[in-house]
Amino acid sequence: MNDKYCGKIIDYINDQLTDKEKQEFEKHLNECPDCQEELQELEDLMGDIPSYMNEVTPPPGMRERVLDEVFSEEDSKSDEPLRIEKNARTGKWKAWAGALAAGLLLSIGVNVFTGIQLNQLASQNEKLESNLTDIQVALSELQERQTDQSSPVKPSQRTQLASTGEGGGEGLATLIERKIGQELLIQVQDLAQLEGDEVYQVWLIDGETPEPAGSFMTDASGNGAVTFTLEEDGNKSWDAIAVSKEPQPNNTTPQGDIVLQSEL
Amino acid sequence: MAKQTDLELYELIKTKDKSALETLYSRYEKLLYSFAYRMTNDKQAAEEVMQDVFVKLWRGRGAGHYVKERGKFSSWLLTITRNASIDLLRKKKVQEVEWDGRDSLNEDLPGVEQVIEDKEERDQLRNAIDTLPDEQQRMICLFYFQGLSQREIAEKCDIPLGTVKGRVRLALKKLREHLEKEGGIVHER
Ligand SMILES: [Zn+2]
Repeated sequence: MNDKYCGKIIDYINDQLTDKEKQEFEKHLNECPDCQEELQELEDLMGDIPSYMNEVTPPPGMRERVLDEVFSEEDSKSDEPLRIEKNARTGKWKAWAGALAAGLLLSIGVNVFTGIQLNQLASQNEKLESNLTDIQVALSELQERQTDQSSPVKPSQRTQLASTGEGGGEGLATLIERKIGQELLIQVQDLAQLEGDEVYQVWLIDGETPEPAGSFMTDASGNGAVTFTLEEDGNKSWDAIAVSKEPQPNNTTPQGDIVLQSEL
Repeated sequence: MAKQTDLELYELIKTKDKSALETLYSRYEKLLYSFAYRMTNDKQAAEEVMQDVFVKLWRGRGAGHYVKERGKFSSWLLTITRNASIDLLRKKKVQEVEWDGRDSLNEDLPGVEQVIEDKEERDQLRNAIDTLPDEQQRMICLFYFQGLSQREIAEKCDIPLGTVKGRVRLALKKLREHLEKEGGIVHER
């Protein structure tokens, strides 16, 4: 009856529970008539509030903007466990996709990954590598959609990301070579669940200075991925790559803990 | 041809039928946009909410997955619109805190007036809320419009955690009584 879950109705209604808490609450709900009744009552009380609001006229062009955005999702393989998130720096999926297609890639050159010990990559990467194929497919499809002059995608160099804390998890950073440039691909597995607004953020570190290089979220099993276009700003080189768990997206400097990293 | 029901459209959307989503969009654009606008009080934010809702619907997974147990389809759409609005408000709040520094954390919340201020005209909801005692107005504002957690509400109002649910329920009940008293419009329920 009145166990700890009964007190969570408010947070359940306002969608304030973590996925895990939500599942637990829903399980409890099935067995607790009190909660069922209370939830029903609150939902009934809230249910028709919107019908007492005045209508507001939507801004011109909204229909097209919204539907365009929705349908642009179609080919991006959103059913896969990996989610290719917006590039946190440009903030615009479309701009990013356009740049990718136009081949406006590359800055830091193949030498970024020199010093990587490729023989580190042992069999435990099998799972990651099979995910990689999916991403390659997604990337090349994306590219084909945008431009006729598609160049084949091939992974060139990769390094393993090791867990730094108790959270566990592992990852793989891959530099994807194209005819005209490079794309950095990060894939992870077994990372801890995110809560609320948290995201995983990738950083490229030059000396003491971390630069954001894409953010991503993970699925229920802690898998995730993100690609990041290396910009054309000369022969910049990086010392390390890291993934941190940030309390919210779009941080320009790390606020959360580093969960995975690797020297380059 | 008979008009397709929401559920028929939803089934077609699951098969990635674009025109079904477009039809559903047309059917609900105004209702959901108006609602998102009242939740966020910001046209840009309301459009972002619309985007979020329809992307979820198109994906059909997680929050965008409808089952009959969730009640009427239109109520469910309003629920995910409300959740998307709350989510956006939360993100905005985090950003504001980031820009303004820690002090804004302690600032008083805007009153119900500001939060649901309608720049156009007052509606029945606004009138009904105005008739409630301050404490109940505040509950409606914090719980319904800002979507705060139980703990946050308890802290803002300086009341015990365990009493939040009861007060929210009372405020919603009173609001509903006033709405029904003023009545006038017939709602589809
Ligand atoms: Zn219960």
